[in-house]
Amino acid sequence: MALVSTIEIQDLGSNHVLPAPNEYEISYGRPSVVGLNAVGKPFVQALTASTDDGYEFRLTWAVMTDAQLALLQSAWTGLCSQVCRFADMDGITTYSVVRHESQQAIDAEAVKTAAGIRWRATLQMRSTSEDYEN
Amino acid sequence: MSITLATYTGIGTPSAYRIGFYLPSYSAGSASGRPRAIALDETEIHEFTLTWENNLVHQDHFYLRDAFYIFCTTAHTFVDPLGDTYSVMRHPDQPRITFKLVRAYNADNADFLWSTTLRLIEAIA
Repeated sequence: MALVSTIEIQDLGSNHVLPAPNEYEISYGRPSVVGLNAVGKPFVQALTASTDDGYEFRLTWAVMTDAQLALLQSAWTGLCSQVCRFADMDGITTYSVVRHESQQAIDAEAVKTAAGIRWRATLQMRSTSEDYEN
Repeated sequence: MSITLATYTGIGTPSAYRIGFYLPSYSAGSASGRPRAIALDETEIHEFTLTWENNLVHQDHFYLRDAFYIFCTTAHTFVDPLGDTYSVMRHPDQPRITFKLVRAYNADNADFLWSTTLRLIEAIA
């Protein structure tokens, strides 16, 4: 499978097309407890029916232009206030997402390149349902 | 190596594999002031760390995710790279599994490979 060259974050107002990030993480989990019993042996217990507890995404761009950073900030604004559609970089999968609760702001770090100042930034999102799983 | 599941019976060999074990026990002081260790059980429990570093194909990433989901709810069979078989569940320190891919900004978008770490712990009845 090949990657696409762009991702999309679409809110109710507009569709933000960003370059595919240089670093991409997706994490999966399922509500459960693993603990130790009275004699120190581990046990596992499911907390709910067999549904996943959502996807988490972490996208990092290494060298964004000013325009690309502005696009990311615009997408971030949408993620802070509404459920957005995220078209993943496999070119197939879309998710309903909001900003991740652990990220309070987009922090962009200036990077000096031969072409001038570029920006390194990270975006974290969380899915709100699995309706769009591939 | 294989992780035996209803849906899948083989995942690419990890690039790094670690195994450890512990004996359920605790340490306490004694009347003489010397610490002493007390074993709660005679059976050692194994812990496993499997790392794939840029060598997990896209489909295997889904298989490994599904395996992790099962390890979150029930113990399941795991055959390690040495061929030994264990009954395992997810490790208490790993509530989620994260897959990462990194590409150079000037790379083409040809086939890509994932990296991840999976931690498991032996389930002993």
